[in-house]
Amino acid sequence: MASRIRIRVAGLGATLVVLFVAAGLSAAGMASAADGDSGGIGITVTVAPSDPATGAGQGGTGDSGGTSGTPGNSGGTGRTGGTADPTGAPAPGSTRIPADDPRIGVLNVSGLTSKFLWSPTPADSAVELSFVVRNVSKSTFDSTARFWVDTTFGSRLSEVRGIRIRALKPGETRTVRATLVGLGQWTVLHAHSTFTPPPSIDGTKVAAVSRDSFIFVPPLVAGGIGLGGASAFVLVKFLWFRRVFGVVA
Amino acid sequence: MVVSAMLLAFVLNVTVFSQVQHLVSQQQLSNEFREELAAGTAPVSEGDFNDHLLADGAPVAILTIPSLGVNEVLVEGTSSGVLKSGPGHRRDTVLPGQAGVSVIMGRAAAFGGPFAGIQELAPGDRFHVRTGQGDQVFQVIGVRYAGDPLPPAPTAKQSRLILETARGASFMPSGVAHVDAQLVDVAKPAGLRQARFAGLPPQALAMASDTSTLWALVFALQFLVAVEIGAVWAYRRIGAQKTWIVFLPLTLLAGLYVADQVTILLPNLL
Repeated sequence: MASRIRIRVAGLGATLVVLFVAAGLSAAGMASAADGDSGGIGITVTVAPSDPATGAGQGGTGDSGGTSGTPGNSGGTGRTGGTADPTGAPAPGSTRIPADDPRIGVLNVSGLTSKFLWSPTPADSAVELSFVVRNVSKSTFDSTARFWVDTTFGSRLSEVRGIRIRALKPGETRTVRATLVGLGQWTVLHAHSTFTPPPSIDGTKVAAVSRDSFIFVPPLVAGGIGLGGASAFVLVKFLWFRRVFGVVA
Repeated sequence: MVVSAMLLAFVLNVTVFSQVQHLVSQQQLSNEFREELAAGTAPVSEGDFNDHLLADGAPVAILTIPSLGVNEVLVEGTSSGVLKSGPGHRRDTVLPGQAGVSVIMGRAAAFGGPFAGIQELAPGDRFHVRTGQGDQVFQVIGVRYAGDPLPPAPTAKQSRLILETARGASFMPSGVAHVDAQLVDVAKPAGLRQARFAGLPPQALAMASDTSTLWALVFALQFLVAVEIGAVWAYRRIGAQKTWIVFLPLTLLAGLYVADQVTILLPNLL
């Protein structure tokens, strides 16, 4: 009898440990949700003023909505235009190269940065993708960008293409950012971007630049169901324990 | 039971214990390198202060990337076993800050994953490398994947630094990501260096595994099997309770030993 009690107490303890870990993960998720932007406003292309020296601001593009994803999946939403500052002050994420910086090549691109945006609605999860492009050539040029997110099995979840990046001036660094929605509860996401410059810059042939990254997302819905089930199990065990042994918590 | 112990130990080693190993190694390397800096004996070529070839794992520099929170002691060598301690300097290249091209490889996930975030470095970001020749400030040129065009080669007075790590999902690398950076100031003179790319051992290249310590894996497996046989014998002779007390730690130890040797066989940038 005593051994059975010990086993049950051990089981109860193990369940509590699992619950403690699950609650910790849930709290971390909630904290991230509080920090993230759940607006789900589609795409934002951050655009710098065309030439801070003259103060002539350059507005961003305001193209139509993104294309739909594969059947059954939602595509990326439409996007707002980049913000233009009439005062000529540099927009967030856009800078000029300092005079003493070394300039290498004609075009520099960073890796793809991703940030998952939590949503209380299971189907409305979103991810913010961004990369930085720097024009180190002597020419001003237009270019386009495309973002998309796949599952680990390769099926398309969301995509936005044809983002116009207008008038990237010599020495300008610009951040291209997009928010892709409708990602559901997939645990691992594979994000991609492609930056397509003109075929030639300053006489140098330039090809499209692709970047990718993986995003791990704790499954909140599955975790919540598990947490609820574990809570119910502990509650039932606790009531049984108290009824049988008369233990008062 | 042997297989399950090995699998459990392998997962624990790669995801948990490797991080602790990395922290301990970095602390020891930091102590050693700071002593060398204070004494003025930090290496400035492929040899140490006494002109002896630097051993694998010897500290050569401190890499600081403020925007990513990276502060790592760089070691000499790039094999999988060496990169357990921290990012490694490829032997055939000059030290960071010296005229020429320097290559630093770092892991993306296991053993602290010190280079996990380097793809987030944007063109124009700056970071520091402290060597025996002083504090070197580098500026990021950009990120490069296989097939992307190489930036123009540096001139005789320029110093280029290439950070390399695995790209793809954590613990499932799909290629190599390169971050090119350029020294902001004039390059320091490069010391004598006889190592050449053609002479590098295969395990020093990107994404290579290290099979030079397979013999240790064989001994580790023998140790694990011996422990399991002993556990079965003890279970019949002295009972379950005492067997668990004695052989559980031994099994874990043997499992971790095996897992550590298996981890070295994985790609060095993992």
